Amino acid sequence: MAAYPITPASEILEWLAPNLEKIGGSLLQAEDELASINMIIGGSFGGVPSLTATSGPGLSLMMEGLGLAVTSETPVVVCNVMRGGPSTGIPTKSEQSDLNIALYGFHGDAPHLVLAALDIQDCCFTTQWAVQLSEEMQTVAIVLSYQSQGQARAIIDPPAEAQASGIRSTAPAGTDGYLRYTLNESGVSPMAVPGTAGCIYTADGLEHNQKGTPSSMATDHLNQLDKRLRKIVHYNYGSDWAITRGEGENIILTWGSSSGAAFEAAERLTQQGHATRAIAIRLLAPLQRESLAALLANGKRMIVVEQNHGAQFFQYLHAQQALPGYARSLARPGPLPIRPNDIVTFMMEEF
Amino acid sequence: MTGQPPAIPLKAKDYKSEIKPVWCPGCGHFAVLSALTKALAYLALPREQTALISGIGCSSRLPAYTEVYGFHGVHGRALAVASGLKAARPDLTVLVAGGDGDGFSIGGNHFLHACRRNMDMTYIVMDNEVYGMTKGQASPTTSPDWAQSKLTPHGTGIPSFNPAAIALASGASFVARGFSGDPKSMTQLLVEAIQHKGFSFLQVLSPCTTFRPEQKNWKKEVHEFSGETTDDCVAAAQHIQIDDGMGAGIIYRRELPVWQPVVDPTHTVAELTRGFAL
Ligand SMILES: Cc1ncc(C[n+]2csc(CCOP(=O)(O)OP(=O)(O)O)c2C)c(N)n1
Ligand code: SF4
Repeated sequence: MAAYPITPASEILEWLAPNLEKIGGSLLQAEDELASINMIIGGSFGGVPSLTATSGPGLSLMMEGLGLAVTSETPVVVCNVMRGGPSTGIPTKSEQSDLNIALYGFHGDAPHLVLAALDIQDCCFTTQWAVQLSEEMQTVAIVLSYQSQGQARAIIDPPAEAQASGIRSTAPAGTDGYLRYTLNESGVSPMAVPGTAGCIYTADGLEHNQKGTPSSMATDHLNQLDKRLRKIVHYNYGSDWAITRGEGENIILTWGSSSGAAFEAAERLTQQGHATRAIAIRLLAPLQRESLAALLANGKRMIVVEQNHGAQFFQYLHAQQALPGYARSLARPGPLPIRPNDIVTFMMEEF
Repeated sequence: MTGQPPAIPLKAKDYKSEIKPVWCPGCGHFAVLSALTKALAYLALPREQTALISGIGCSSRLPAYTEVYGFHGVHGRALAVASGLKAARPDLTVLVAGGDGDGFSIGGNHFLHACRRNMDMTYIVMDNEVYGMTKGQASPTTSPDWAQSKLTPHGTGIPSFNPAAIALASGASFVARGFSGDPKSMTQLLVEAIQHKGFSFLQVLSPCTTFRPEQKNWKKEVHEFSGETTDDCVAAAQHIQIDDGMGAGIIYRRELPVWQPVVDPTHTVAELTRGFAL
């Protein structure tokens, strides 16, 4: 792990630095976020699962490196503890306004994973799952957390363990005619870890052919773009991509840290005679569109809840044609969290 | 995974890949490639235990032309990738290569911190005092009156950066300068740089025939470094100031504490988890 201190992500680093050491890992304090992202790319290229933690301004600095990780197919995880933005913004308060950069911050076509922890307890599950997915698919996973999760202390039940294999596909020594970026059905090609004899290659952020040799041929570019997308789209994510609580034709759809308020609002509305289900999405990209459509079936009223000014989640879902026409947006910026009552009132007024 | 010493000694050509360099005819970088493969063969480094990391630029194309593990990353970040790799894999011999633009401009901050971190790696900067890959703009080592770039029609007007002085001031434990027009000495410098324990910085004067044709004269201008190799940083600093920037040789070499992250596994993950129990 490598990182540069930033509020409100430093608590993660402060705990990990002494504790990673105890289990054979390490935390490097980098000179900046350009360094930290590239350092973990180096560590992961060396075969060691690697991650970093930062907040909005740091994530902005990391974007070029993240594109490199996508293209060179080097698995890395970034935990982005969100604060009010843009720029230095409101460093000590929460906001869910880094969804756009997490989804769209890359130049070029760069398929990757975006996950969001639902609450403090879920930070463990979601981050563990992100590491597993990133290792299996050899790609970037961005985990969105939140100031009020990152800087809080809470007593929780032991968190659930994510169940993906988390195993990185590696090439055995002496693989005949080894091709680092070989094209296959799954899109995941075995990675030779330095030290493996007979599989020497150069990882590259330049577009490349199957061997890894830089190439600007249209076929190589298309094949490798397809490969990097395929591995993410074809993966079976199971059922952990979202959580639903309650039932009813009223729907509250949300993500990440607004989930608690959404669950509670659904309960209150149901008690008041307006049967409501709340759906919280944990895996934001790739969006599980078909499964989401199934969860949204038989809805009559729907609001999409998020804590930012630009309705980033609402717009994303619309762009993916994942929302029915009757969906309405409840988007409010930080620093105040969205409360269950805000959702209940909005729902009653809107419908 | 550790490589056995090869039964048959490897030759320089065994460290070269089949890929044909994209460099212009006469580019100084060819000689660096050749000297590096000779140095690796001389040191008999197992190919799979060696990694060559680079950024972006003509010079940064080096890894793909060698037969060791390579990582061709983004512009200016090679030292960061290499530091992460060395931290994770101290068993590997880590080499880093790039240009003066890559290392001193966009990557300048990493250069300072890699010098002071003093991890065991070798950093080769192929200095042609120009951005070759992007068609000839001024770099931090370009002299202030060079006015051949459209971006700086009057020259930069800014004093040039002295890489050896900066490396020394930042804490590098091995500082040397070589010349690609003298491949024999350069091979020797590479061997010594790789053997040195700690951060070795090797500036190689490597002409860009396309955008700095006048660098053909470097053959006449390069000379032996005017000072003796020293482990005294004050003396080394003086030698660097006295030298005209064209002196080749080992300027400074000193055994300094080599940094690696502390790794002392005493617990299992389950034990750490149990620590959370109320
Ligand atoms: C972030 C970013 N900015 C700019 C560039 C464009 N660029 C590519 S190589 C280069 C300079 C290369 O010069 P140098 O490192 O001296 O190597 P040389 O080509 O002379 O060997 C620049 C500016 C880039 N690739 N990435
Ligand atoms: S542009 Fe200059 S540095 Fe680049 S390959 Fe040509 S001669 Fe070498």
